[in-house]
Amino acid sequence: MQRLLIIAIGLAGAFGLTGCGGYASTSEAFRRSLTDGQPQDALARVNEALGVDRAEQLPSEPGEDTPLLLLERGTILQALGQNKLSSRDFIHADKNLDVLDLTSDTAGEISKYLFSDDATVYKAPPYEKLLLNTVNMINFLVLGDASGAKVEARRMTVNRKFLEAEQGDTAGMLALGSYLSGFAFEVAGEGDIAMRHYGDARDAGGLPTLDDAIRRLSARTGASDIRLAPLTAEPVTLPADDRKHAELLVIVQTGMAPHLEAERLPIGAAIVAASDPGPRRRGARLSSADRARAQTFAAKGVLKWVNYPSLHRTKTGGGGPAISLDGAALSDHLGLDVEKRALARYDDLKGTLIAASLTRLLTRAVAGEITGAVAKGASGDNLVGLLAGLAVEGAMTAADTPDTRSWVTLPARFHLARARVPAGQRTIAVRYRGQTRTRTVELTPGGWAVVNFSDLR
Amino acid sequence: MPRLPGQLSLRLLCATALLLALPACGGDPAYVRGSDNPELDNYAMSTGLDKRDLEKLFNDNAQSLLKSGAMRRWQEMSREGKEPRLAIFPVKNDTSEHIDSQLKALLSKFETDLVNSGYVTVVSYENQGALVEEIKKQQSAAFDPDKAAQLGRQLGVQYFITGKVYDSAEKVGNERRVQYFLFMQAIEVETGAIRWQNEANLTKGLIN
Repeated sequence: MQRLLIIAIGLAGAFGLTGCGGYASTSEAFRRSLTDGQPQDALARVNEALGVDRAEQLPSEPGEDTPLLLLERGTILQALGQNKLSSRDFIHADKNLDVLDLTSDTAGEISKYLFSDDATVYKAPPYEKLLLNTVNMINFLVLGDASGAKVEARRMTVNRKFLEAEQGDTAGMLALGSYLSGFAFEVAGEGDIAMRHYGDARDAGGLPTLDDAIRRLSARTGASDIRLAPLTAEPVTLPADDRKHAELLVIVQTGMAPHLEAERLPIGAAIVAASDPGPRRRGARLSSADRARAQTFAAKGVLKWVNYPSLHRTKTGGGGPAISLDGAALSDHLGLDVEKRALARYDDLKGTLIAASLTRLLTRAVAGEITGAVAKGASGDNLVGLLAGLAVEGAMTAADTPDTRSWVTLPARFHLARARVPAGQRTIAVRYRGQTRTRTVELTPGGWAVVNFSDLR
Repeated sequence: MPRLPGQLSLRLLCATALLLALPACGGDPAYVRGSDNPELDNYAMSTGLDKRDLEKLFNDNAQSLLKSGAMRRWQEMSREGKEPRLAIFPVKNDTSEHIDSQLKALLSKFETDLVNSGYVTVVSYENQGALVEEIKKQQSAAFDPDKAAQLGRQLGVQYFITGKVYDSAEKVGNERRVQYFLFMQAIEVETGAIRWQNEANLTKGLIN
């Protein structure tokens, strides 16, 4: 019998080894550096997490979190203006996430029931997939590479179709990506395709400056899209010297999107939350059999808490930036509020996440009871049975790590300002949270430039 | 004694087995030579274009050009001592994959073959600053034959070879499939006439 107890405790020890702080703890260091306004320090931290010395390096042995960490590093590099390296990281992350999307993870699914949600491979939520291509489009546009931006636009379209078929709603996060896709095709001289993307952006809820861009493109090239006919029917007169002008797009990314943290919830509240159909009555919830079992265990005092991933706003500065062009204010608009969309999506999913945690808890409770009963039967000793049961259940609980994986450095908000300005040297200044940053661009007649400022504080 | 539900007991068993199996996995990666490991060039590592794909696309196009009327004309011109001058312009990437460097490799193979044929003079424009920028724009912008012809005249060539690559990319269920279609053309600068055109295609995928 002692052998059984040793096995139980041994297993408990082994299970315990797998328990760790999860991605929330991995990402805490670089999140904190960014909120402190230290992107270089954040870069060093994320390199450390990737197991490399420099941003030029890719990990030789990719780990489970590598795709996510590449997303984080890509965002930090973009904030530092290292757009080439940033785009390389995003391209690698995109390909890795593609592989994970198509991976059937039976072992992970089994482990998920027993130990932890983050035992499964990471499948990025739709908004992360779409924004990956959107943010990488910004890299290529800043580099003046419309061809690279168009590749990202096409990748986003493929992802969008896949996600719409597999997971439904993507519209909320689509408008900005479609707008930038339209911009990329417009500056590449492919007006009709640009118009299609602008039409998609409008269908996805529209965006400030979009309607003006559509009218101007129509007047300049005659490009059209049936969905935009009412808009393009109103003629726009271009200035006589339009050819001497250039297109300028300023993007300002601020803050960081909400992140997940492990949180404990009393069992009673968890049963209520897991049984709630949610604001839009979506998602799987706790089955009535599991609910009854959970109530029984709770009544016996076996279950007290549920450990689940809870979404938290990242404490970053509020308010929008002030953008100026050659000293004169340039109207800026909020192009996408990722924070708002992520919180809304989480509200939809919260009950499902708590239900999943509760199901794991039930599995462990049953396993503990069985181990206890087996040990007691073999030894005839109640204490041995109790100890063995507690060892297995306790170890599985210790190994439980709620899935806190998400792209934590994803900017909370994207602000846009767009203008058609006379060619020549132009200086753009952005003031945000007491700090002003400037960039100078040389615009050629009929040319274009995209300038990005990222302030993830 | 409470009974473990069948599914649950299977999961518990599998998880324990997996846990025990973990130490058996692993091993450090090692650098290898293609000559020591011939299989290295055979398997696909992404949905992008690799050496084998480039060879297929190149061979399809080279075979087609070799048998074309354009090549016969160039051979005749060469025999008459009027060796035609041509330039190779970038291939426009209209796909959902970042394959620009692979396309450059493909064109370099093409250039090598043409130079070594002895029938044509291939004019390099890499050292002609402003022209390079204009020609590169052709890769990004909508293909404009008039503009391309003008660039050809500036370079003093009678023909230029260019192309475009499209894809039909889809991701459905457990699969991602990319079907590539590469079109290559030889265009006569003087007339804008297409003297040779060929389509080569191949498919790459990620399947489960």
